[in-house]
Amino acid sequence: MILYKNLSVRAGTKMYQLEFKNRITIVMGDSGNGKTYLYKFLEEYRGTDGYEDIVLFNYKSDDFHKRLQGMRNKFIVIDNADIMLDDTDKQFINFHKENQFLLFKRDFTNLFINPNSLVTLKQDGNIIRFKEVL
Amino acid sequence: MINIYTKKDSNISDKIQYFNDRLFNTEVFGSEFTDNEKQVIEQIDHAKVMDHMKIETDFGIGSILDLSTGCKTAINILRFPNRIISVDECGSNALKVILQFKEANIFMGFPATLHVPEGSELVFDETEKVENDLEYEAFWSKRCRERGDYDIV
Repeated sequence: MILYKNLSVRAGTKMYQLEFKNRITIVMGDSGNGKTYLYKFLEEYRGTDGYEDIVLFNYKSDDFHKRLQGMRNKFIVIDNADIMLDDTDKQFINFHKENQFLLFKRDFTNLFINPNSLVTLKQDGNIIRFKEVL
Repeated sequence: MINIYTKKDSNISDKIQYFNDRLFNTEVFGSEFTDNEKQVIEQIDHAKVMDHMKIETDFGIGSILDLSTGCKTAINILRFPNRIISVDECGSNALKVILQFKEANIFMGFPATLHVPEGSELVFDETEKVENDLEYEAFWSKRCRERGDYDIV
């Protein structure tokens, strides 16, 4: 299920305008192009009007694997996903279709994704959008 | 020489540093950066290191803690030559810089997208020398088959 088709996130002088075409979106790309910066600002928006269903995890999150398994009807954002996800987590992501995922990672082995699930961040002036990789 | 480990063997698993943000934030933050490190930071994140642990980037002025994970990884490799630093969170721009270091011990958990720089000396798992892109692809094809990477979970 796609819970969020669009998300706007103001990040200082920049604005992220993100369009989601799939239940699983994997943000790849060069280091320093704004992935963790986006995560940081999503933390600020979490729980506010229009952003109630957002749950964020990164390497600092306690009980990550256990908490992930309990998620239903959530927009789940995972930073550091290359070092966070094990095979059980990937199974959960693949088969729990009531959740939407935004993953910051580069290795998509064993994740069921569409070609246009793979995106990078493209800056145009002060607006940052997804750009499909393939 | 760049030593690249791809297997979590028992003799190296304790030395692998996966959490580069944590290592940088706890053990590098607060110390002076060398000119070489500042250059690496500029190359990868296009960030200028200022006084008082600040950086200036296209996103504005921020803390040195706001550097990308790939950039922190590169600095960790320079600071901790006796540790094996995971590059799994590095973009190809960070890897390009790292592979030009004279010495490094790194862990690569999956085939990263990269170009093997001319004249570089990459040694995988202490045995296999890789000198160009074709050899890099051949190495990873073999490694992925060995460990059944593409079996469905």
